[in-house]
Amino acid sequence: MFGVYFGKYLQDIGVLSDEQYCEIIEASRHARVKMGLLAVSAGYMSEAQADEVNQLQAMKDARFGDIAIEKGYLTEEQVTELLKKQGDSYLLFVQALVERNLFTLEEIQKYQNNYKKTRRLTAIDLDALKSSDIDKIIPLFTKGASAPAVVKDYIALMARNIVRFVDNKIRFEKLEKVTTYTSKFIASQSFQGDYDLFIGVGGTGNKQIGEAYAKEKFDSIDEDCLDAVCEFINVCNGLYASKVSEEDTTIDMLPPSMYTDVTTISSEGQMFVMPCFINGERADIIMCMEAKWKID
Amino acid sequence: MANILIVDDSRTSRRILRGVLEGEGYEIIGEASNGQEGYDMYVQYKPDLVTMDITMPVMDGIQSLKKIKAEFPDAKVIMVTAAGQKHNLIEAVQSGAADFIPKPFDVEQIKSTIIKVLDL
Repeated sequence: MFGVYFGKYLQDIGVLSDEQYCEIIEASRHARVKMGLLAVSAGYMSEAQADEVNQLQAMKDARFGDIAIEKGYLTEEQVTELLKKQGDSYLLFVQALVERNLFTLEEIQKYQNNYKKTRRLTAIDLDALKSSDIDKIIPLFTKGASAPAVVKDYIALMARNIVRFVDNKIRFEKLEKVTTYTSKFIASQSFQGDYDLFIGVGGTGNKQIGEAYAKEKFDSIDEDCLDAVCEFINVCNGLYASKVSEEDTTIDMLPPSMYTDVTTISSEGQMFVMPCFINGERADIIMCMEAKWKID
Repeated sequence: MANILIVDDSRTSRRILRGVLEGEGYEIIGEASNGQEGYDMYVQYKPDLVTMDITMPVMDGIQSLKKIKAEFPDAKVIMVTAAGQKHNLIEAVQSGAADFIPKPFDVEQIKSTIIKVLDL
């Protein structure tokens, strides 16, 4: 995933063209093999066990490896070994740059140092970005917005599910506290219960999410596309509700809503927007709290 | 082959379910987008089986299930649910739901659940 951030930086400073950026990302996209497939081909799990773990993933917000360990199908050592086999996405990105004679390794190192400096990243931040571990990456983008834990937790959960259902070559930008948000395309669902939440996804990136979730091509971001995004949000919200129910918190999901005209969401309570770029299209994750939101 | 009524407010879910079930040779007797429509269509068509979403506008899936089971105790209703609706699911089972299918859909799980419930 670091390749997506670093590649964007190289593009921004003008040493990588838009076309080259897309080509490199595409080249490294399919290099990652699914953990279940690796575990079965290594003889660690049967296909039936892998299918069972995949099904359990639908019911809880946990990674394949974690569930497999919990079920006793894999050991921690085996998961570590399989993660290594899955491939280091940053190395694959670097390999794609070098193979195309775009940069030497020394040049890449120089640009990487500049990237670290201009983005004011610590060595730990850089390692987190290079890890491709969404749980380490998301806090880099949520830490400055003084958002409550609910917001950070939810954003991390949705990010994990975007990686799982939509694309693993995604790029986040900093979470922002806002008072209004306007978009022509918004899919949403609210929670009611021990606390109230509005969850929405706005922007042209809805097309990427809708198509990936429904496994269908849409000509435009129409009601069918937003309906698919609503289903995706519904799945995320279900996983979130399931997670908080373990802490004795009850929240019920309301029927999803979609907006295909220019719509403004405003709130007198806390409201946050987290931009996520999928294939260059922006999808904003919108969260409002305290039941003080208004939709016009 | 059995005929099935799909009740779900999401076109995406209805399309996926229809595709899987028709692919297995079942007849989709109708599609409803909320619990009230689902109940009305059940009364009209008396399908062999219903797939019923839980979270829907107008009338939710639990209320619709209760209405159907009150009048037709032998009705076979499978709830369709995202994770995190455990308390709804418990209420559904207590109200006579035969089984449930989780979202996101797993094609093999849909097929095996339908076969199991139709065999009951």
